Amino acid sequence: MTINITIDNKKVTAPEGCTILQAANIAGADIPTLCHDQRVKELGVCRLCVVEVEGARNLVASCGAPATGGMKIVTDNERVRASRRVILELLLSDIGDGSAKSLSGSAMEKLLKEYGVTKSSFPRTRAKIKIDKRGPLYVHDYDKCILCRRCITTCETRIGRYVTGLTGKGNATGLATFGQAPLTGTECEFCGACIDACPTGALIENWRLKNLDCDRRAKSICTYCGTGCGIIANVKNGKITGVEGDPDHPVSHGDLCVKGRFAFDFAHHPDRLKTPMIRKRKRGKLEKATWDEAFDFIAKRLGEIKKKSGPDSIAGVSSSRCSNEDNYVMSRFMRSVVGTNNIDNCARVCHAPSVTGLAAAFGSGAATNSLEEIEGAEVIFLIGSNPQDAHPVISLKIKKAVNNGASLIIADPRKIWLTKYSTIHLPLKPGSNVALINSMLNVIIEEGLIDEQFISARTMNFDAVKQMAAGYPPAKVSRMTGVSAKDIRMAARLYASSKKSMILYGLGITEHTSGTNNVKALANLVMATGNVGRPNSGINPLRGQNNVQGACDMGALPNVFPGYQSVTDESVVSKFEERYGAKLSRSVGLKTTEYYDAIENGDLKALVIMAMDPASTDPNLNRVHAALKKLDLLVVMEIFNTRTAKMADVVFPAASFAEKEGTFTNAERRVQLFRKIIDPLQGVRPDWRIVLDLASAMGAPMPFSSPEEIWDEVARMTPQFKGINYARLEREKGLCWPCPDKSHPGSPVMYEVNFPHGLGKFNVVGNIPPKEKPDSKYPFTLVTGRRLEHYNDGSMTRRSRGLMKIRSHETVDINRDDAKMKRIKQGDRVKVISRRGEVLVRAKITDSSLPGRLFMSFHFDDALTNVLTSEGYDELSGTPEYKVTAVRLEKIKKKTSVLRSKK
Amino acid sequence: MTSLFALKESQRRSSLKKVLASNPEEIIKEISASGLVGLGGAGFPAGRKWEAVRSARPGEKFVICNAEEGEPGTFKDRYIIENFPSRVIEGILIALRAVGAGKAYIYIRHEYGKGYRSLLRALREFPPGLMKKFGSPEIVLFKGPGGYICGEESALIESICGRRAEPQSRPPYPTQSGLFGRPTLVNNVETLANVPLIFNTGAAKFQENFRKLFSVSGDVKKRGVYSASPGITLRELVFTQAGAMRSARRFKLAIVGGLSGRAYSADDLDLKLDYGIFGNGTVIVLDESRSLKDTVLNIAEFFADESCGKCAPCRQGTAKFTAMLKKQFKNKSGSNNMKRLKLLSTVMKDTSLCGLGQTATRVFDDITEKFGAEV
Repeated sequence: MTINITIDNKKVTAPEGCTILQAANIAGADIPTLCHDQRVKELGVCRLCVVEVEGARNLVASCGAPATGGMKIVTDNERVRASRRVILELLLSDIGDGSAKSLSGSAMEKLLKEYGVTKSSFPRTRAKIKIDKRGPLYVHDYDKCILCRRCITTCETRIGRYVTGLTGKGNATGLATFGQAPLTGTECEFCGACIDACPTGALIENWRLKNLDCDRRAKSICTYCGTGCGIIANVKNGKITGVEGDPDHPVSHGDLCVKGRFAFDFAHHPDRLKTPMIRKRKRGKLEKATWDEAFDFIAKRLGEIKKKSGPDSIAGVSSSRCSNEDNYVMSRFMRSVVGTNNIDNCARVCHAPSVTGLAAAFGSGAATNSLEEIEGAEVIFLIGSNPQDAHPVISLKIKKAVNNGASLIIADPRKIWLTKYSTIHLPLKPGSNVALINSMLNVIIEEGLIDEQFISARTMNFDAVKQMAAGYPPAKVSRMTGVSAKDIRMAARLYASSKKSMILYGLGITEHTSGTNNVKALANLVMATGNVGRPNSGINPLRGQNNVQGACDMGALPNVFPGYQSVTDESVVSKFEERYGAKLSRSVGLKTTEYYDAIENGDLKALVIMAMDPASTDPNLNRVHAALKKLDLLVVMEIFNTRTAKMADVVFPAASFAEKEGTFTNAERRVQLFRKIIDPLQGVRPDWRIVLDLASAMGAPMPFSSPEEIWDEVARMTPQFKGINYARLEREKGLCWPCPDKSHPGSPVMYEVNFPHGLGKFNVVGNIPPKEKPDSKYPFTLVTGRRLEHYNDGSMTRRSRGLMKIRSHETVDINRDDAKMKRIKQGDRVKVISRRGEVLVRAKITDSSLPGRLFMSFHFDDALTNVLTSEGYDELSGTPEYKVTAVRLEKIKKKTSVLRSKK
Repeated sequence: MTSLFALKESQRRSSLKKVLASNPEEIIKEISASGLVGLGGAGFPAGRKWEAVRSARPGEKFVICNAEEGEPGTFKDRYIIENFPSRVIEGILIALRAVGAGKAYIYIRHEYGKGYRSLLRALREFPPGLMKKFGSPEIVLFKGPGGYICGEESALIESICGRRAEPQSRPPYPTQSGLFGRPTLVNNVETLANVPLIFNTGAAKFQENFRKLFSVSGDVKKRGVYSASPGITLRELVFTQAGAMRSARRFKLAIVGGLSGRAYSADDLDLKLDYGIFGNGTVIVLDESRSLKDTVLNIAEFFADESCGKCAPCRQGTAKFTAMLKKQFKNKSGSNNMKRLKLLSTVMKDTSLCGLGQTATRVFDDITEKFGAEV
């Protein structure tokens, strides 16, 4: 439906229901705005957007006024101009000395210039406001505030938090936090959306106060989580001085989280490794060495080990944080130079079940839809994932969807923050995923909510699964899961009520003994309701790390080459043998979680690790440390001296993401090109370069001289990536594989017509209970996971000053009643003890922990959480059950020295 | 005083009986036929407003009686509430029935302690059987936290919700989306108090005999509430009804409609105080001893104090206007300052979000026009 209106004597056709401002934009008229933000509801407070409407007595604010058929509008005449000028002067009169110079560098400055306002002719009436530099990370310079309210509206509407509010009245109105608390005393999550929204610089980053200008601005992709947000770095004198979001980025649209925005200073930290190091004697120290010395040392040792124990006694761990190119050369190195398929990456400990589970259901193990489609979903089923902390920009999309009327179902043993937005929260017992999901399927089948057409046309094996589901009625499952039958039914009905139902899941599904089964169970739900192969639906594993998807895609896995081409498939292996010019192994290699058995048995003697810290992040760390010490050779490529690096025989100083170029693949299969922001630190080399140099030193050079050449080989060898090259990635802002040829636009939505093997497969899945079971000695269940402010082993974020100001140490999150029962007060030091070790940590009483359940992250050195975690793992994928550990709590009576772990 | 709002018990019962025998459409037809308009100052036809709420989307709806009476010089609503609270309650009941609402709020300024108690008593003493016949609606007596802007209907609604009392951009109007986002009818005390009178005499007779309440104050002999037919001249109201000037000093100025209204000089004494002119019926009379400078400054300070602070032209404008006036009066900054004051006045009128900013400088404009030299 359209309407006809006249704007500045020009006839314009505009969609019915649009505002005058929107209609004016269509007509090409430029109306100035200050408080307007199209992502949030119109406030109409600045009045700068006023226009003259025929028949209206006063001027009309175009931002919120609906355009109606026959309206005659004038956007710019003497009356309108005079008004806008006066308003600008009125605002300027209470800022600084009333001159436009006070706002230099701000968005408002442009408007002042346009309307010829250099100094306000009105007297100052608002009391001068002192700048509040308490921060951390950003400051409030409220003397510049024009009360446009963009910051609070953005925070309340898009972010869902209440950090600052309005105080006072009239001209004395101001912004303040409750009780004038510093930001760390508020809900602020330091996402910076308010800073971006502020048109005057009243909210400004600390770093920008120190460095308003820069030499250049360089785009890249964030190095932290799997969302893959676009960043723009300010570079001055060869250093990154600050980071902003990239408003043109197709996924993040300028949004960032605290890590992406503020945790960039790790790159310049004095702890950066700058020289190779060798531990010449087994019990000796790590000493500085030259690159050649280090390569020769490794070549010699690896040669010896290979000769004595065979190539399969050597394993490589590639990196989910490094680029696709780094990962590819690493896996090619292990396969063609070392001669083994013992190559894996840390997807092993997180989303490997997604790969196996989704492959078993659909034929391919990756997200089925794109992240942007979250915003248009009608029902979102979030299970085993806490995006508010682990994928904040994805959480923004969920919040946007709910604000637009979508329903959110959350299944999580914790009362996570997003339950504020959910229609229903299923607080299931840790480890009872299959029972819950199968029960939901039971309800959907029983109540006739299945999509029969989809099931019959596009799937197989439904009858077996139907029979299986019959064994999981809600009443029975209720006891197993701790979720009421009523809620199970409600969640099931809600999920099945729409053809735009999307499942988002995380490690709460995969990091279990039933990890693969959990994924298969979810895939059953998806196919039963026909919620796949169409927009705004599907099942999306929220990949944790910036390139864990890519590491898997590049074949840094023991059973596949790039593109998941099997190592046991003769035609595939010969293809790669021809390319590499070397004989390749045809037997599936070891998973990282199998390494420790192999080391203890003497089967595994050497480990080459690229950018991973298993000594902090693998489960049951006491065993891990003992095993790593037993190795004949441990090589680590790192940017910091992590716990693993400290145990190595050779350490290589690597370049960070900011110092190299390559591609990352985010959770939605989007391959994104990132380019160098700064020159590499003196002494470091990009990981791909280190691997190539090592290969050369071992007499088997690989024919690459740049990341682009590496990518081109990958594309040539892998049908799904054939159409992707750097030029296209640059032009098209990333491409979602499969992208089989140069004219293919990429595939945000998968399986629209067919599954890779034709039909999708329903899988019968039984409930596999966790290996860890609480008992009277270990009565609590500890769930481990991530926190917002830090990233994985914390080696990067703990070296960011600002982030340490927000969260500097680990806590064990305990339920209020449990704390009372154990007489634990906020901040008390407690011992958390499992069957394998103990950790000393401070207690935090929170409502997010439900009775009987505790939560800890693994980001901190001072509380090595993985000393506690379970040895149980998923049979098929090898992924450990990080989500279930039986522990007990002991209160510490007096201050003792910090115990890292007890043997 | 006036017994305009007095009804005998028999008249009361028969009016209410008439209403109970009518359906919502019929009730509203009668209201429309009566010509009743909003008597709080806006003058919007009551029937149209009631119909807008009645025909809004089904579901929960509300009626709000606006007893904030914040306009300086206005006390007619207080008079009605203290003396004829039952008329207010009856008007609310009839409105509830007409628009299909089950809950009403009487939003009364907290300073009206006596009026609050009067309404409370009247609610308690209202015949339960009759209340039941009207569906036993919930009538809440809500004490406003204070502030002139709370008299603005959308700010009043925000105030009930516990938020900052700030006017909201329209559309949507409260009739579509008001209290808690639901269709809401907001009417002034006097408007609602007239409703039972309509059903007492019938619409035609009501329109014929309608009398507006005028709050007359200032330098007159008999300050108080007067009822008069629309069209009464300013001269008649001030010099006949209110007993003329209280001293030997001559009439100088009348501010009609409150501080947000218009100012009239002795040349305007034959002005007919008719629909569109009387506003809320407030008339403040100033004699020749009053300093116009003080008057204008007093008004400017009032609006600067009462500005809610939401929109830039009013938040900033009322404060600057006051500061510039002060400067003007202290050291006679001359015509350039006056030019800027006039420009500011125009911009506030043209661009402010609500009536406060739009009318804050109206009296100033009138006074400078009529008494240029003195200001």
